[in-house]
Amino acid sequence: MRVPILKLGDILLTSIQMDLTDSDAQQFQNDVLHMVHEKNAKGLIIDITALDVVDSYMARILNDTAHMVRLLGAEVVLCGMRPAVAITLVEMGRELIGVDTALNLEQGMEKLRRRIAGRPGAAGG
Amino acid sequence: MVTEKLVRIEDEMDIVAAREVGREMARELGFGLVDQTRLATAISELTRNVIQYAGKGICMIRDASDSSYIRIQVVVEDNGPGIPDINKALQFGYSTSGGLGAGLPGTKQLVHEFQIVSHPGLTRVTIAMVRARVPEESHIPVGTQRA
Amino acid sequence: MATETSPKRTLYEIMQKNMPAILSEWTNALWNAPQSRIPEILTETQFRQELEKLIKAMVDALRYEQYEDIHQEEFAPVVALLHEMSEAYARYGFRAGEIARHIAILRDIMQQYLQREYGDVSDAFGRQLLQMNKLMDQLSAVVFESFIERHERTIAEQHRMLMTLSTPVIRLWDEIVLLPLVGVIDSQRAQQIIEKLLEAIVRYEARVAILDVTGVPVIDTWVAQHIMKTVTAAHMLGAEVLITGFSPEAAQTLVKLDVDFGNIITRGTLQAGVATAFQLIGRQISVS
Repeated sequence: MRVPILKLGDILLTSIQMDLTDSDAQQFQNDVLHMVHEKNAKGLIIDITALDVVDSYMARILNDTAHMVRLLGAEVVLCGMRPAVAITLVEMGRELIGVDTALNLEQGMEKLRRRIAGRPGAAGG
Repeated sequence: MVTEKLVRIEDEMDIVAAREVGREMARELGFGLVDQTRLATAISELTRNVIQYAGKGICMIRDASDSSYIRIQVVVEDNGPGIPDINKALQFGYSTSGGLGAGLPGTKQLVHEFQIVSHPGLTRVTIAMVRARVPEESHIPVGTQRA
Repeated sequence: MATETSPKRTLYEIMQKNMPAILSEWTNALWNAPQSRIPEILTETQFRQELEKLIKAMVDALRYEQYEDIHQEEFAPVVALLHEMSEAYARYGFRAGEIARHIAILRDIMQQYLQREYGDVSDAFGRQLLQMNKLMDQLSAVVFESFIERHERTIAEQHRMLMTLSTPVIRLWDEIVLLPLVGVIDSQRAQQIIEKLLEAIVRYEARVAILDVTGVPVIDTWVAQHIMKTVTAAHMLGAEVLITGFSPEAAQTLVKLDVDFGNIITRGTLQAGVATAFQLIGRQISVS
């Protein structure tokens, strides 16, 4: 089950709708990285509103993917984490570290744009 | 209403199935959303371990309530190679990149009861979420669920 | 039981034979006891009837001449009656000592009867006395347990009510929520705090949350860790968290205890916190 990735200008948007199997997750990571690279994307939003459970495996996938995308020079925002999921991750000691988050898509886009605009050399495009 | 459900863990789809069964039973027993999520996440961790280290196993979810407490109990069991050093595996910080028994300390933090038995040929983790019966519920017989 | 050929009666026999007299003495002693509040809630007749029920039940139970363990079946009616009486007295605000006095006075009365029956010095007397005391001690214990249990239930109920009242999250402005923490934080409340805060962040789409701890009397390692968990969880919902109200003592304690606060934002006063919150959402407050 491939996770669709949408392009909105220089930003990519992807929404994870269901639990990813090992191979799905691998595929997802590959797809995202290749698309960021090919489209020269400046930002990526990962929307996890639909996830009602995020276990340590999924947390690692999200964390790793975000860091990998940053290495490719794009900003990343993870949005839509549910309160129950946030609490569970904190209690497990698997909170996401070093990943920007936002409450929802709207705030996520805003945050992403601000980050992108705030980068050195941003004005030059 | 069933008070016990068995889910065979044979592939990754069963991880999702098991945790949905767990979540649903927890919901029926009156546990709040956060507790339901904790339980579902714990089941996810444990059954994922089963797939990863033993290939297959079982997950039994049951209503183990008594007259004072409402309790949902989950037993995850496999016949795999076992965890070499349980004490170490239960310490935070051990094997953060994922080795045998990875995720156990985190899982332990989520649930109210946690027991583990593991040696080559058998690993059984028993967890439970527990809450006190509120006065309105004391008439509910032991071992049955609310509609 | 005693194997002497003396025709001495057992506690049971004494009680059974003298029940009306014992009941009268018992009722009078309690009714006229100094500072007795029983006359406030019962008439003397009603009171006597209550005690009569109790003493009859005791005599019935003692028929088996077993004094060691009141958890045996034959004592069930006695225990039930004692619980009922405790419950009723507690509702009227009586204290544990008042109903325990019922047992104490009965003990005194029975001791006198035993003394009359056995004379002051003899093994048999000693044995009967011991048995009687064992019985009375256990009955006292039942009374006290009943009171304690009732208190615990009341406290738990009040605690629940208090919790629902004491974790208000205030919407300070668009995108800013304020959670003033007041009072002691136990683990149940700690849970509630995180949940309420996150719910509010979602509901109001808040980007900044101010956690004011001015009203928390003790901030130890445990509370500090809990605050950090709350902050981390709120971060994962994209909200910035400001903590205001640490006292100088708290600041000293926390650093000395080597608590890791990571990179939280703190301000000394709620006022400063609010100003910073507005800055974070891109607005200024002007002071007039």
